[in-house]
Amino acid sequence: MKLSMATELAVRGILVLAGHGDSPPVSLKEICRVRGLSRDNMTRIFALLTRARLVNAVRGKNGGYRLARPASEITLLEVFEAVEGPLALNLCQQDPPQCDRTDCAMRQVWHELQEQVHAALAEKTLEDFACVLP
Amino acid sequence: MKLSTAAALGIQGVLVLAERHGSGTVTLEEICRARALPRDYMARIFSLLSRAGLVAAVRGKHGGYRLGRDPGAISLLEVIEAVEGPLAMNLCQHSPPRCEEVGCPVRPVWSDIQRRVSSVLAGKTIRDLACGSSQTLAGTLAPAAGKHNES
Repeated sequence: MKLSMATELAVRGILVLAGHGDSPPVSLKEICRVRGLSRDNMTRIFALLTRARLVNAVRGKNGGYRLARPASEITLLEVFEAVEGPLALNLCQQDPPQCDRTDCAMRQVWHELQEQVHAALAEKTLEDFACVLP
Repeated sequence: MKLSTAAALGIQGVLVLAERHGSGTVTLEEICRARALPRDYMARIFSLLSRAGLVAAVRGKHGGYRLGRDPGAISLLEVIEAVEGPLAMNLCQHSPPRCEEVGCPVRPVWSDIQRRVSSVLAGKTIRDLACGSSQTLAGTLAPAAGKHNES
């Protein structure tokens, strides 16, 4: 039970943008340089973040990425779900459930865990983390 | 972020043993038949559960598996960790941490999530979950275990 590497990278990448405030777009190359991230994976991850409308891609010579909304309005949960899809700790927690055993005693446990993890991720916004970064 | 298939299968297997706790050993074939579990994969998972002492392997003609402890003394966390290794929601939550950014502002979030997940999983025992009804099973097992201890 763990976070995917893709989400970890997405959080690192988007925090670079959060740390830049309203300044011009930041190129993917620069984002990767700042946090020492691999360029190949980040292209795919930023495409997912763009599709989820958490970041905007700006074309052109001085193009790059910037946050689509203020950092205080983007939660960690949104970044997570943009990359991994809807949070689901187990099959029964997907919507619709991918497990048919509706009376399973375990389902309550997964539901409780799901709610706790969901709450912990939803209450944190990028603003909570951005200021500390270079 | 989800439970591995291996851990889910481990839980199912241990639950079969919990439901038959006190009535001898159960063969791996029987465990797999009870819940339609994959035989080959289960062999590997049961060797992990066995190594962690959660189940005991009994050799011989009437061999098979039984729980290594009372089902009320085996937590869900133990079963998951026996199969997946120590719970770690992210790299920084391994011991020692596998991420060197000590000052990372997100680390406390993972640590918070890790604490919550760990506490929910540690608070549930196999007895709570077996048979789909904690009351019935706890009710039937507890007196039986007590009687056994007195004799």
